[in-house]
Amino acid sequence: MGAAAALVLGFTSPLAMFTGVSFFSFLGSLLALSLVFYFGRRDGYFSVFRLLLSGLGVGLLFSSLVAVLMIMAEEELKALIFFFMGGFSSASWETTWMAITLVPVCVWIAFYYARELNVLLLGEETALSSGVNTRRIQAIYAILAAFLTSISVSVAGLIGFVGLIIPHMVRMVFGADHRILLPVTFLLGGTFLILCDTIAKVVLAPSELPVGVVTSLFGVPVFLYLLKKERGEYGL
Amino acid sequence: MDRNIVLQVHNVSFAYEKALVLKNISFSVGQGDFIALVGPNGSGKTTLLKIILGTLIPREGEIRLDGKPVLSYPPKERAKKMSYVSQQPSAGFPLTVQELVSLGRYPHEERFRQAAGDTQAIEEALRLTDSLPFRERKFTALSGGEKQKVLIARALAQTSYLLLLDEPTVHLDLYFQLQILNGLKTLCSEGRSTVVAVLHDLNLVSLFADEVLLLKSGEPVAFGKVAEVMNEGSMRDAFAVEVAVSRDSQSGAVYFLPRRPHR
Repeated sequence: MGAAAALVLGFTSPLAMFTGVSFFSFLGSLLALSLVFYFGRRDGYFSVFRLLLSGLGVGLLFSSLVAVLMIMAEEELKALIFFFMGGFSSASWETTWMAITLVPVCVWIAFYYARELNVLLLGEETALSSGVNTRRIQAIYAILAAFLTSISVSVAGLIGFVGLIIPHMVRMVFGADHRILLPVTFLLGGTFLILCDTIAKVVLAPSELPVGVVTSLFGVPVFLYLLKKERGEYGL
Repeated sequence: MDRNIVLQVHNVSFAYEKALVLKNISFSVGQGDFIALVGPNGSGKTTLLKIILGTLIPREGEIRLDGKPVLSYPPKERAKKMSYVSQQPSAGFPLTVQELVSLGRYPHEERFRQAAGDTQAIEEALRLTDSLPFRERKFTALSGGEKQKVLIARALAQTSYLLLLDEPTVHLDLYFQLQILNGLKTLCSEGRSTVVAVLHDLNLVSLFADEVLLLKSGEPVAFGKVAEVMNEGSMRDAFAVEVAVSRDSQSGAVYFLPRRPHR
């Protein structure tokens, strides 16, 4: 939503190293996360079910706001549509360099606290009793998630299902230890996207499919298969 | 009696919003004690455990761990002194048993490095809970009883000297109820652990607890030795149940036979 607002309303970033799209998608992600966390918490603790419902509600709200922005858009409509279809065709060196420098830093921070994430698998209360500063860890990962999302969408727009299916596939093969899960997901996610991009470029050459269409075509069946197979885990 | 007090609960009251759920609770726990929290559903037992743990803040009163307010310890230092097994563990996570039990070592670890004694503590926790045969299996693939044993093993691997257990024998069959509580009692007798446990089975309380805190509607009915606290009258008052109390000629322990609801 933040990125769409920047595209349509022409917001520019107050920080030189970020584009308007990346800066405002970061703010939008933070706002969405804050709302999801606010409504997903009860008696001081999160539950998976509440978080899912809260995420669904906030997602629908933001989709409506994006629809309003699309109606307001005139010459920016094409850029907006490309943004929502996702793909590398509109990527620039400016956004690519931003990703190359900042993404490894974020991934390292995520890896640094992987053990705390493992303890959090036991539930917030048990993690607290094990010595994890749960509020701090949740805040760190929320900001990291918002930041990484905003960098990624400013390079390639919205590309669905990579972030959803790759961690689940890695978890099925390598287990739930985040010290392995995080770096392997990072590498495999990138590899999967390159593969999908190659397919998108080759299959209807000389025209090109949006890469988001390819990831979803692969991603949705795999996701549904995993949903069926992983019954009983994470309360699903 | 000269004993080393590890936990003091001093005049604690607690309310969820406006509803007062604990009133004026005071007791102290010495090193090696096995204390049972007993009372009907909704009497505040779990809330009291969470206050001791430091995840709920009392409206009045104070919890002191080793003579210092429990909230004055940094999280990792507190976890080195006190571990917890909750009543409702998280829904499920595809970690192996060994991986899950090793999470108990978190407060002792330096980042990216195992701490001294990690392997030994994990092995002993698995052995004490009889979890060695399924150490390589996924936690999500275990039965309810096996899961409970693994969660207790994780708390034991934390090697803290105070164990807070919320219904630790739930899901366990009779054999494993006795095995787990015997193991905990041995740790207490050796002075390596102190246990504060919510227990619903009055006969297990009689067999294993040194002292009992009997709660009703958030208020303390009595605190003391099992035979002094748990009798026909107090059981009727607290649980609204007619209970026959007898004494086992072999062990001398009192045992309880519920007769009928008292209304």
